[in-house]
Amino acid sequence: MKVTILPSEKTVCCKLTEIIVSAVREKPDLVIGFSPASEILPCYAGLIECCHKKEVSFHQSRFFATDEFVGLDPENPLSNSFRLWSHLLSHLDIQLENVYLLNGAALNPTIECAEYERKIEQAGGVDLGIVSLGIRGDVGRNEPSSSLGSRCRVKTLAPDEATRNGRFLSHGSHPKFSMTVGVATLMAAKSVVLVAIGTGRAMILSKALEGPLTSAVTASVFQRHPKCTVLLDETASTFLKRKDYYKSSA
Amino acid sequence: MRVLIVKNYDEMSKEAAKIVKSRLEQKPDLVLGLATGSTPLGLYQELIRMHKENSLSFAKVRTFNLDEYLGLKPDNDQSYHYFMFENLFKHIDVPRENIYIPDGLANDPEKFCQWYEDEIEKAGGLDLQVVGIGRDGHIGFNEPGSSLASRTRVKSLDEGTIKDNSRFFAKPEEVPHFAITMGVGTILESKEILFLANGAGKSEIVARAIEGPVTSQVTASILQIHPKAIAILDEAAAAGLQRKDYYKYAEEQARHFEKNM
Repeated sequence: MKVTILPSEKTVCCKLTEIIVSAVREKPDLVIGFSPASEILPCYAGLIECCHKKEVSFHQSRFFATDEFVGLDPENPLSNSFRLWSHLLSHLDIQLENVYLLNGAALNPTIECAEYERKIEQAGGVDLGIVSLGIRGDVGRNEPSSSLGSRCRVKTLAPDEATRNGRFLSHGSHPKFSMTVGVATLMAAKSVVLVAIGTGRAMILSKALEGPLTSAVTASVFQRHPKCTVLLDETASTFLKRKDYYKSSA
Repeated sequence: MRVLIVKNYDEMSKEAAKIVKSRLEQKPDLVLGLATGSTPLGLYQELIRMHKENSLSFAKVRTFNLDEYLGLKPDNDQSYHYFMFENLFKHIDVPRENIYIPDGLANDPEKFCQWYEDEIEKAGGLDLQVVGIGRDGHIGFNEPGSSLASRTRVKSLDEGTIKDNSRFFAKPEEVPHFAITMGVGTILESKEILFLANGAGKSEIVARAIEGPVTSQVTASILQIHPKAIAILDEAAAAGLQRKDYYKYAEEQARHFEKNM
């Protein structure tokens, strides 16, 4: 695991942009798995800028998102699909047929999930997976206790308000289920970038990186990934025991 | 892991039997891994009842048991052979030739273990494996420290286990010191795992296995990496779990979800 501690949120975003851009340049038909998490959306602005400046082209790149809420139509502004389109996809020179998003309005979410795994496989697997560390150590929507061998499936979201997504507050009701790629799906990506930003992630990040492998912190599974880069800002690094080592080896 | 928490032992056994029954209905030639001990006893009684009252058939099923003591004859009432025939096999219609239990009298145990692995593979692999958990977190006879990648092999029994067992034997020299057991890796290859635990005595180790680190010191913790493991626990065994409320909530939601699909 390569742990890269950067001075600020902004520099984390720049580094993420740099990693994605260089991977796409190297392999234009890169299969990108990407997170719709709120913390990570602003980071995608860098990609748009590079694309506009013609520094990179996503014309052949393929996109898979990690998760979607069950019951939300892709046209719904609260859906992950809508947010990914508005924050990223609609600003890139992508081809529509190369974008694969879970459909929250699918009639049978269980089948939708199985199909999604199949599509990832048909694309040759994810080359570069971008995941955001959740507040409870979750990656994708793999809540604590999710099987570390899980594949894309419907997952019940935790009912406690603290862990819920703020954007649904004004909406009245929070979705109860999500469709999410599994922990094993994320692990199968050829390379993974795990992003952690802010003091709120500091404690859980230390558990994920330096604690035991456990389904109670699903991100801990990346300790076994052959090519995982962790990008974090200073504030998220507070509790890392080997902080000095990571900095010196950077 | 799916964690299903039920009121008591009786409900645990019934829920487990429901799952076995549904898998059996989907695949009459199910390859079923079985365990011994007091935990799965209620499940077996329920399966026997289903067989007698609802003509649930095991005629095409193949069964593989997790383990057996080395040196015990099948008719020794302490052997797992004896346990399985008394508590399940002689009451259902599974053909004798479809029953596999490690041979405690094998001349060449090492060769036998390889044969056992080969037979599981030839059967197409285990579809559903039932496991209990020991107080030290073991599944099968995979005592703490067992490799999480181990296959069927001869394993020395823990001193505590030997001492516990001595009360069942007339002479100290009769108490087994070794067992043949499926390995952790063997168990993990089962397509689905049914993990049962009941009673307050198991609550601490159950919490470590389900929510603690994946470690060879608690071999059951490996079930956290299995894509399809279901834990069925009674309230007493679930008492130490931190995310109990979430498991209950998720079960309730999943039921609604299935109903509405």
